[in-house]
Amino acid sequence: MEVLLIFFVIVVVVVLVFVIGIYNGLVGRRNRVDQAFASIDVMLKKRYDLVPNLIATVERYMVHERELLTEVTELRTRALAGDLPPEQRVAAENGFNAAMGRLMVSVENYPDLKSNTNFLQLQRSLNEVEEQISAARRAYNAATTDYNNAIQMFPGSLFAGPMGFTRRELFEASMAERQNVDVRSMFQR
Amino acid sequence: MHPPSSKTQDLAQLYATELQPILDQLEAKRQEARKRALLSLGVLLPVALLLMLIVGNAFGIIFAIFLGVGALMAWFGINHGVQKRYRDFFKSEVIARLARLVDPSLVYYQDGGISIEEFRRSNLFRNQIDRYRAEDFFTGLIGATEFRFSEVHAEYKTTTTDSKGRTSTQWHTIFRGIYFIADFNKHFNGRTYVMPDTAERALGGLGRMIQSMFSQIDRRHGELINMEDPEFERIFAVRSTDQIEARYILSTSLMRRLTEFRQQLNKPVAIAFVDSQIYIAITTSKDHFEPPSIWRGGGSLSQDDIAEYFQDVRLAEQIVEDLNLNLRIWTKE
Repeated sequence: MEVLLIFFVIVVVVVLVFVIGIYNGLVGRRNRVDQAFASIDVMLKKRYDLVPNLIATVERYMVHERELLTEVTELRTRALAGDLPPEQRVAAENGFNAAMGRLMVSVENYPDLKSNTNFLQLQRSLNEVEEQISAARRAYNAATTDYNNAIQMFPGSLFAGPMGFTRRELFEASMAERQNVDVRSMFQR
Repeated sequence: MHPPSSKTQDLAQLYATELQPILDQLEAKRQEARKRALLSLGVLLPVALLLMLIVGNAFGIIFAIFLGVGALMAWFGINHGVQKRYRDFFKSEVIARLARLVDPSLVYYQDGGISIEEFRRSNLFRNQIDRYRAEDFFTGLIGATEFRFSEVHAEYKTTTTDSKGRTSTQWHTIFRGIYFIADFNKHFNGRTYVMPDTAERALGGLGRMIQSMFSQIDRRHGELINMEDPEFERIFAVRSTDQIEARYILSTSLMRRLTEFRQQLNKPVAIAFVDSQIYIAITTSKDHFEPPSIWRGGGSLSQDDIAEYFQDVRLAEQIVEDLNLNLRIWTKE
């Protein structure tokens, strides 16, 4: 009788340790996804921080684009507001990207601006931030894939549902952003 | 590897005009060294053998062996000077000219090398080094990229004591090959390592799991990072102190370029990104930038032989081009 009880206790302990292990593994992975997502925000913020400088530099030259410059500034303020729900955030983000794209295209019409050292430096910084944003997104996708694999593969799949772990979506470039690639190739000229 | 370029034509021209007379001189020096070696052998060998026979009979075999070793050392001693002159002539006249042909800014020091501090800085290999040798140092500037590389041989030693109390020392190679350092085109603060992936190639997914567990314990190179490019991931294992920075450095295009670079080279390559510099360690068994052996048959070096040396000297230029290090669109100039 006693042997049976000891055996039972051992089984319970082993199962418990196993479940705790899986649970902690999943939480760890989910936190990594959140961390990676937060670092995209950090990089985006870094890009928004460049905008006031950029506007200050270009507005002396771009006398005919007042409207566009105001639009960029407004979109930046809206995207930075922080209290937006995710869908509106993405919309503001995309709007900002599109406006920035147009701004960079119209730079072509101002040869003086294109050779301004301050502007060139800002352009380099923007390139750098773009590259960092894309690195952060790739890191987010890698963390998310790892997390999704863990909750969909056995044995994690047994516990993920009851423990409240749900699938996360991967970051995909929106159509507007895909077109932004043109802007980058323009930088390299 | 590369399509025929103006450099290859330049090489043909250099060979036809400047190099040919030099190579003939080199060949004369080689023949001289060889003659000296054979002649001294012809004299030393009978004398040594005769003496060994006499000494061996009178005092015992051990003394005869000592005498034999002494004779061998004497032979090396006699030939050292002329062989060194042959080697120096080759390096200063042939390799240095090839270096100038690659780029006028490329400077070659035959006795210089990457310093042991710089070798250690990358942290690619274990840092307890007991013997370190470096030679054939190249340094220069290609486009916006500063670089330097040399041959390096780093070793550590172990001593074992047997039951009779005799100690013996064994030397083990840590790294032998070409060690290349260049300015990288992006700024970064952490450390990122791209190492040959032995575990994954041998064991597949299981290898990756073991690797990942191992990197939890061995934190020297940071955590293991899974990259998106499957082909790259099969050849290399990436470790870094900062995974976003690692992805920033290893952009999708750089991963492709590194994969191709590794496939072309077909030798083990380990890469470190430290202090905004790229460190590339290419393991080779060949002793590069050395003249042909004095025992080699045939005459002067042909144009094909020279082209082979030229390929080695061009290494830096090739790396800068292959990895696109001159693309300076970020804040680093």
